[in-house]
Amino acid sequence: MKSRRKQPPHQADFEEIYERHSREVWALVYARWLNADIALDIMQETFLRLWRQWQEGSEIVNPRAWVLRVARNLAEDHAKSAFRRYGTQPPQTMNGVEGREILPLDGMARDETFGQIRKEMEQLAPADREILTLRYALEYDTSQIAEVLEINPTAVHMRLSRARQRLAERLTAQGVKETHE
Amino acid sequence: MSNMTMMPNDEQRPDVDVLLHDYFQSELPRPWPTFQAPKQTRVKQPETVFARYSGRIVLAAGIALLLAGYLTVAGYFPARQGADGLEDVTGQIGSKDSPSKSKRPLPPGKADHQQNDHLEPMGDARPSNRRPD
Repeated sequence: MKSRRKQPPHQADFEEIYERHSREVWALVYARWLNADIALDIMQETFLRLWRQWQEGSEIVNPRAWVLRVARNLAEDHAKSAFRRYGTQPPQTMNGVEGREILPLDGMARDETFGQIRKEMEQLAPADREILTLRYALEYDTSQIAEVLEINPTAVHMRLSRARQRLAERLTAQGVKETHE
Repeated sequence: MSNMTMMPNDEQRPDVDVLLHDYFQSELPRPWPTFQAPKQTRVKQPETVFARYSGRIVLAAGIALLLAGYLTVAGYFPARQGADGLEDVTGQIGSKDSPSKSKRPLPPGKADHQQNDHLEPMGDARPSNRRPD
């Protein structure tokens, strides 16, 4: 990934890159933290840095690889700052409690189920979480996931099946059932 | 739309695909934020050699100016001074000459002789050119 000096491109070009890759950035950071707000903050910070690079005239040959790499670094930096803030207790160990507003009763069961899923997701390897996030949040197929993560599609398929199987077993053990209306 | 509930000891296996899809879709921010370009920031210009050393150049020019001013002003004052730092004007006291035109004071003996040079000889002291009678 080499950068060269050139004239800054138009804002429309930048917005196109944002539209194309911002969700992927969010997904990878979310897979790291399992926190949508943190992922959104880091995604925006990543594209802000990309914007500054463009304003300074640095040509980024592969913007997708650049933003994914910067987002991963920012997510790790956030891990260090979170350690200072929470000590040895990362925020996701606090049962995923977010927000202060009182939840409506009909949403409580759903949130409890999602809390169980989040808890089981924390037990998975970060690479498996990335695959699951790209598959179910962005609805990417195996080849698209392989392209983002720069790994073999066969490996993506195997890891996706294994992670799904593991989650199904754990959620069954927890007594989680899905019903359709 | 699916509705997930906790069913302990339920034998039915959850459809993990649906569960995960619902979970991740609920986590995905909606609507997706658009990128707001920040206000135009000032781009740092590459430094030239002059810009890099401008402070030192200004300092050197200031010192040179002070030195030149000192030498110029010093030229208006006599270089010779007394032991106490004041100009030695003892030879000029009582003289009508301006200090700038004052002559260098002479030693006492020579000064008396020089002072009498302009006096006309009087009386017997005048040398006689006449022949004795």
